[in-house]
Amino acid sequence: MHILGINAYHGDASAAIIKDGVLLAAVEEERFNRVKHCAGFPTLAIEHCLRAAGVDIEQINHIGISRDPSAHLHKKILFAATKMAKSAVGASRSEGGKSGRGIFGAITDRLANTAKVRDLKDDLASHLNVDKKAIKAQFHNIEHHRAHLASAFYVSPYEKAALLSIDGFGDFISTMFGVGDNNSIEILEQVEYPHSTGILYTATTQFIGFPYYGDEGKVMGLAPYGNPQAYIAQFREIIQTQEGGRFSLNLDYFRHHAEGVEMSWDEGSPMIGRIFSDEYIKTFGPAREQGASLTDRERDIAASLQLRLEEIGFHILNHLHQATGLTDLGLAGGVALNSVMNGKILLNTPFKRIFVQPAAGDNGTSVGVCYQIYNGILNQPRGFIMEGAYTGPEFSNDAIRAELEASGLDYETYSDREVTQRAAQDIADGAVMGWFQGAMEFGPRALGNRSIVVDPRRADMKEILNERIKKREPFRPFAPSILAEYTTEYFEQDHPAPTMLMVYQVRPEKRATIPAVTHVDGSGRLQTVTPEVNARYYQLISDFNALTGVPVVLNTSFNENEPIVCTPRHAIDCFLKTRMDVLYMGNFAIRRKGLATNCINDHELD
Amino acid sequence: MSSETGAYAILITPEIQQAQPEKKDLLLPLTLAYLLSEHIRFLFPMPEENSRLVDAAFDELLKGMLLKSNGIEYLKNCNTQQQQDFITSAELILTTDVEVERLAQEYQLPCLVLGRNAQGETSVRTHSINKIKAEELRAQSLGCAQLITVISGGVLSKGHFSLSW
Repeated sequence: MHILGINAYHGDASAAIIKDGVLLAAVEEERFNRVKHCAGFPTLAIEHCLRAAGVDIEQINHIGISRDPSAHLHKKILFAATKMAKSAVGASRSEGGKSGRGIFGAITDRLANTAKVRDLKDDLASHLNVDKKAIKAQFHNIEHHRAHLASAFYVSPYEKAALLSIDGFGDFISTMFGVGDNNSIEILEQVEYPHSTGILYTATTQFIGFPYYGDEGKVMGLAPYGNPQAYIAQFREIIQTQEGGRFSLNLDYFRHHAEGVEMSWDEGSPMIGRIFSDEYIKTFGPAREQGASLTDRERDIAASLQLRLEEIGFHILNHLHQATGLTDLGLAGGVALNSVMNGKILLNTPFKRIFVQPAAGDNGTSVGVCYQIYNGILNQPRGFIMEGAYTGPEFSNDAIRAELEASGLDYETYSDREVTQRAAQDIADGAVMGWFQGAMEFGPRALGNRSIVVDPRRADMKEILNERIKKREPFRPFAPSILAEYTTEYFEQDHPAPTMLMVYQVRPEKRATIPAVTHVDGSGRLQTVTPEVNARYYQLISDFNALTGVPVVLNTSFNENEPIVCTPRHAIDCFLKTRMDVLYMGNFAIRRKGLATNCINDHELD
Repeated sequence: MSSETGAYAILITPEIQQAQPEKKDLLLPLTLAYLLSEHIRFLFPMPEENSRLVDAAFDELLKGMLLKSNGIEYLKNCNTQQQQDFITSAELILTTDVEVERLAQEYQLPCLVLGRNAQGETSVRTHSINKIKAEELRAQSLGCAQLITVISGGVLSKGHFSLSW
């Protein structure tokens, strides 16, 4: 039985496919069309999934999408009616009581301008260029947060777990929590529009001067530079806890509920209009313009926001534990990408084990859709565990060699054993190394298959990476990959973090050993690497450890202000346009000409 | 069972006639009845033993609501003939029942029918709405039907949506 899951008409459009409960492929559209966080319809991702499974769309048994406009319909209608009633009172006053439009008339006038009813089957047939009648699959609308919860539970190692999905919004809900038990998920509570931690974080990110979709991670990286107590009182006013693990926004600070905030993409990167209201300006002063210098005020706002998010997160999770008595936790939703908060969960709640869906953002809902259908709806037995995130395209050595030949570049060939030894030596010598191996990662993190890898012992590596390739804001940290068995030796917590979604404190005595991956507050967003999940990457770090006595490398995504590279061609293009020293792809390597052992000197490509 | 005289609308849902109705099945019809009750009094036939469930559903729906209402009167334990009499004299019928829809069509009675379209999305079918005498109720009924059909079909148009929805 084949099931295709889709996240469409939304940021991070993606597709996933399973066969008899086994995940065969999951991938974001952005990796193919090279548009960051691409929204719209994931045609290329779907085509890849079908190729990976060796089937045509006509052979798919079930197709689902992670949205259900009918969900919570009565709440949407009531919200709209209440809102329009208030508007009508205002209009009535301003027009001398002659508005006469009625609640629904005004709403539908407005909707008519923007709404186009979507039909998934029509879109699928049109984008894949097939006859609609040929698609025999049963179609499913899976509510957004149920898809998140399914992605955090059915592919987790837990038979029973507490579950939390937390993000901006989806299907009128921002936060949903409950219990997963074998083949069912019971919803215990949900927080509805317009209250949302995701909206709070995005609004503040915009206020600090980072306007793009996905910029929230920058604020998380900025937070350790500030004083979290500076504005914590203000943030406790902006978002307040309620009984039952709930919370509410002080809506005076936001525009989305009253005036609406537009989001547009036109098949490209999503852009979101201003969410924060003038109350933010009254409270914090003028918003920072994009590109202006960062001051202590922005750093303090970021720190206070991060602290308040953690307070809210632990408030929800402590209630969830109290309500369920469970100590295993499944986590998903865009806010679950906040790895700083995730890393503190075990310290601040009774939970003992955590599974975070590797693609915790909306991209991961395509996986959730597949398993909600397979396990939740069709009641098929569970059995697949998502231990890594290597579900994207992969390329054989023959395919890589063909691309290298086509590029006309000189390349070297190594045996399986040699390739990691030679690469480890290059890293130890100070090279900036592209590392392209196996199947591409799903989700925002490069996990050793589409990575740039360098020596973490050198404090200057951050600057070198930023100057040569990444061009990121200097306050943003780089992350370590560590052999799993050394986690306790280097970090203050040892819960596995195979998909780089946890930030732990680096042990004080080790910070000087790995300065390039130790953030200003002594933390590191680690990836714990095991041979079972990624044998070649494990071997690379082992070989580096054999050379240096340090079982850690710096791992950053293989890209330059674009989506992570997908194909050998993308990798070669990125290698050529940046000042990377060496690129390993499969068992091959290409080097900048004239590269000597001391690779940190600049070498221009001849 | 009692009912005042004067214009009224009626809500007919087979779900409430079941021995153990589910609250979630009542939420949307009750929401629409409540919203339209701003313009006309509603009657809602039901078995007496299910009235508590309806109360609970309204408690959930009306939390924090500020809209005006002419009231929704529970008609407890009326028989089939009485119910049919109420239906045929109503200014507006709101229903989830296709049999009531057929009756409304046969007698050309103003009727809103909550159902599902071919894609499985909630939609509203309208019949003889132009026969509603009260202008505001007529406009609201049509607007309401359009709103539900649009929202349940998804307001996410290609390349644009507003976070206010």
